Amino acid sequence: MNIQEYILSGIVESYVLGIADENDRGEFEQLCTQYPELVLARNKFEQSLEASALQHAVHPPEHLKASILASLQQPTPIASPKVITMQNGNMQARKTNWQPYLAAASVIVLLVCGYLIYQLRSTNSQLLNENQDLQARYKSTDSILNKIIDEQKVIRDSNITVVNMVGTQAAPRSSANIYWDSTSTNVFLVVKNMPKLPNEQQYQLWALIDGKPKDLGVFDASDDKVILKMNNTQKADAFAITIEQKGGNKSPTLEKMQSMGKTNL
Amino acid sequence: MEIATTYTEAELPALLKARDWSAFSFLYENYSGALYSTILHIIPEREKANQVLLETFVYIMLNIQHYSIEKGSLFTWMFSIARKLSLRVIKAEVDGLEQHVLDGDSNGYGLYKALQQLTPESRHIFELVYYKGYSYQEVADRHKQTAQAVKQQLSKALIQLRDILK
Repeated sequence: MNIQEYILSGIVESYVLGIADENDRGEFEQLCTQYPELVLARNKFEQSLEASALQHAVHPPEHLKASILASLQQPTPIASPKVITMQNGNMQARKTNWQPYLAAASVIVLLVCGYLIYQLRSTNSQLLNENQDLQARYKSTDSILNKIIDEQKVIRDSNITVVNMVGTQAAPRSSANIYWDSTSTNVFLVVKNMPKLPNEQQYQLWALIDGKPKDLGVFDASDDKVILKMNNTQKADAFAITIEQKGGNKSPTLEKMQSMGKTNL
Repeated sequence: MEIATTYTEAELPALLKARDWSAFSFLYENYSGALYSTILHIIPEREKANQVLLETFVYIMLNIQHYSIEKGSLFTWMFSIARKLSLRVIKAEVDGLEQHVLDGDSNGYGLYKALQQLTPESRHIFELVYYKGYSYQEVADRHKQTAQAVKQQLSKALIQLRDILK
């Protein structure tokens, strides 16, 4: 190759101005490594081009420098550091339009936020319900515990007379305990086993004093395993349980007597 | 604006790579006018040209690691970036449209004065390729010539230009 001819062919200017195509550029760069005079020619044209450009410089508006610095110094650069190939004569517009992606992303973020808020709310109300449920259970357990403690007190109290109610012939399996405190006159009843009654009927407890019945209140078969406080009585020769209409009767229906127990006096 | 330090073109790339803002400031003060002039030649509208100048400097800073002295001077590289970013704008604008006549708005900018001394034919081809970004084939199609003939004419224009700029 005649390098002088090559230098004078216009390739140097074409290369420096960025007009040369990929092949010509490759060849030029290759030849530059072999021919120092080609590099010299390139440097010379670059210098004259630069000198001319500087001579015909037009000052950009003052504010532009600050804008450029702001663009460069913000944490996320406005342009991604992606390499755009500058070698080809024709550069296609490769600027990515981020707007639709950003719009889509913000919609997704919005949806996710909405979903999370919804989740949070439903979890919150769920927890609230659970809390209320636990509180109710706690109260119920607490009241049961208190009743058990009361029961224990009643049973341990030395003044208490325990009357074991045994089933009559009409209801041989019926059984209950009466705890009668003759000092405080309190009467407690613990249902051990009383058959279930129809809805319109209830059991009624009586104290028998000198052969006369005294009403001590009504109860249900379902009141088992807890201690029931009945009406007080100062005296009692015996206790009896009858089946009466709901709410009780003024006088016992003796043929419906379920169980009876005598005090130990 | 006062420049505290001056730098040689050879020491700038490493400093720019390290994001030395004093070096950047020097680069801007020294070269923005020349680049702006070239951009205005392609895009006479000031607002758009401002935007391209901004993009040019941002591009330079983000891609400085790809600049190599073996392939030419820093100025040549920056000059080429300014031109290509400008061409991208006008290509996007006239995409698909025929553009026969070169507008005269770019008078005085860039290489305008040097180009005035070219023969009209040479100048026309140079402007189509350099300032409008046409490929040889596109120019050839327009003038019912072969791409090779366009390339030869352009070479003549470039040699003339070199002698003018000397």
